Amino acid sequence: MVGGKVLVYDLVSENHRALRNTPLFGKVRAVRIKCTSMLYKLGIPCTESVILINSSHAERISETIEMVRELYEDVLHEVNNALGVRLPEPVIKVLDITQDQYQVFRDLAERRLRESIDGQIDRVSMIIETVADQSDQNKRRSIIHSLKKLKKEWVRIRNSCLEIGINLEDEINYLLDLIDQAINALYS
Amino acid sequence: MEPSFGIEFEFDLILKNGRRIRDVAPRARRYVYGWDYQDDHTCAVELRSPVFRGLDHAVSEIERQFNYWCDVFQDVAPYPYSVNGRSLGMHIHIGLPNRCLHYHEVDVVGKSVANVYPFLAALQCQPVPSERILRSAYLRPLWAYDYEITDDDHYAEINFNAIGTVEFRIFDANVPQVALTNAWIMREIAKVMLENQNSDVGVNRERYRHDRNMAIRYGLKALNILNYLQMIKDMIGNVAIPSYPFIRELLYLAVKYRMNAWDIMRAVTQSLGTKEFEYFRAMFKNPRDFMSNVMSVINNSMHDVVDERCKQIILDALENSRNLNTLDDLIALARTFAPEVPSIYVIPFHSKNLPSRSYVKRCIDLHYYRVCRINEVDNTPYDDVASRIHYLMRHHGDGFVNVLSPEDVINRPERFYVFVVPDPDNRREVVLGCIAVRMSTGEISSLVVDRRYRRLGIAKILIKTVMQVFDLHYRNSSRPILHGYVKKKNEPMINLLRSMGFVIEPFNQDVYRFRVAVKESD
Repeated sequence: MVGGKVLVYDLVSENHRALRNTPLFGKVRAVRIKCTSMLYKLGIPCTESVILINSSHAERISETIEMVRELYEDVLHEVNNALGVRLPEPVIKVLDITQDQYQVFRDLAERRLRESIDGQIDRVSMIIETVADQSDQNKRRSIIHSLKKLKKEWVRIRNSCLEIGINLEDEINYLLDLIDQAINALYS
Repeated sequence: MEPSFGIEFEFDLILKNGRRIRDVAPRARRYVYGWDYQDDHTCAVELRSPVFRGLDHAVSEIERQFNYWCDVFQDVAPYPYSVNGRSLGMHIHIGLPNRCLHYHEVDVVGKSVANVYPFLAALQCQPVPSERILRSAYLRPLWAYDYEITDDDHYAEINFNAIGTVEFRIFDANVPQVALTNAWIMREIAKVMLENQNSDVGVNRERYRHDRNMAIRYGLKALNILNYLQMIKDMIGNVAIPSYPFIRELLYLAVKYRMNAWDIMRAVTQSLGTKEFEYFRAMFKNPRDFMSNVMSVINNSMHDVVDERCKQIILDALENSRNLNTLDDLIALARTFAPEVPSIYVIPFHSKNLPSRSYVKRCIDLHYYRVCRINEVDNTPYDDVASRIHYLMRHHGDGFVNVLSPEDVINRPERFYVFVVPDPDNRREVVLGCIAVRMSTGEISSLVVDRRYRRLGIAKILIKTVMQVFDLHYRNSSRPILHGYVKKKNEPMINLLRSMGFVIEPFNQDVYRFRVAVKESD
């Protein structure tokens, strides 16, 4: 009985011995962060390197995986040319899982999300608490920018949760309200 | 007759492999002639010094005692720091070597030292915040005795001890060098005060309370050290600082870097891994030096891993503290480095490291919470609770709640009820919301919930509690109507009040008045 899909991946990290103290360290790091973020956008992470995905977006999934592979191909090619080292290619697999497995992964994802929501609520509350002390306009603008980005990210996560069947809508909505409050407080 | 002093050393034990022994260890009560021990269940060992007639005597006696002790116990070192909830203190007695102090002498010495007590406490505080000073049942602040030096309570932080000395109990346990630095300052003050016999000494209550609270929560960074040095100078004059390197180094660190011995120990031992054993043995065996002991631990380490900033501070203190010859030199240093004190206390102690929202939600689901009065919160003094309420009103009140000062919270006629959950580590209760009701008029004047924990039902629980209390209070008599005011745009609150059966009616353009529905029979 098929329940859903998970995406498992292993991307080469910049901490590889061959990259230490070389200019390519930063480049590999940037690619890894970008690729991880692209993969995360496909669903909800359950643990490190495992993402619970909504199988209805099959086309988007394969497109994203293809893009990640291409990005890595370029950077690994560059590493090979510059350092003469062949780093392993990224491993990205989409696996069908049973209903029971799906349930387990969903619980893991939910727990991780709750922790993340707690952390973000704490962070945004702290911003509201200290807003009066923040007189530097540039700093304020930068916080507003990051809050808007955060809001966008959590709207996406809320939609993914609805698709996957994780019931955290109220909590995420509260976080989004708090983000709005913080933005308003920073503007005023 | 010059004052004498004595020190009670409380410590746990640390083994070579880094393991700490906290159980009472009677076998470790080994001491040389003149020293003694005391039964104390709060530490592994408590040793009492003989009466020290001066700093030289104290240094040589401590050196003699702990060299003997360390020779007997080769694989153990004293561990005086209160990590993981320990409550190790160090009590310093000031008296006269040949007789008991008279009450007026205790009064003048105790109150004079009290004026600089926060600075001395911060010098010896470990860790920061000092859980021992904040929570210990064996230490009570001076304001509990209306700023008088009591002879009734042994646990007062300054008391007239049964042995005829004035006992200073606020100090956390520490390496001997720190206690000796504080003892030197206190003894100098006592010397002048006993000579002058000035009976007009009073404690600056407001500053004492504020600075004491700040010092134990945030350490030296929270104090205006220049002021304290000037106060000390006003009392004892521009005295020469003793030539022992440790005094100069510790004062130099405090004034220039706002660091105390704990900060240095942490910086060094964190860098060196488990080097605490070596660190404490060096400190106790050689009480004449401080930074040289630190350097010896670093130099004996296999790897050069101490970070550059830490190293710079140590070398700077070693090199430049020698130039501090008088209090004026110290004051000049404080003046130079005064602007470096950062504004550090944006979020106060009681409002930091709060439990997560999920944890609180679980607590509420399991009914693992309490609503109580401000003096009933476990392991938290009521003025801390009042301060937390003030903070909630100021930062979580959304502009409608009247912000009361902590003193107002304590003194105003409203009854405050707070919603608390136990901290996940269960050592205290955390205030997450509060409600204030004036019983005579029935007005709910404040209702605030930390915004981290809103929409979990805390406000409802608080309102229900007040309704129950109100019912109980006016069980057999006619009662005023329980009522309050709410902003029109505060929709979640209005919905909550409606769901609880409150009648909501317009009060003015922006505000609704809510009140309990009056039954026909009433």
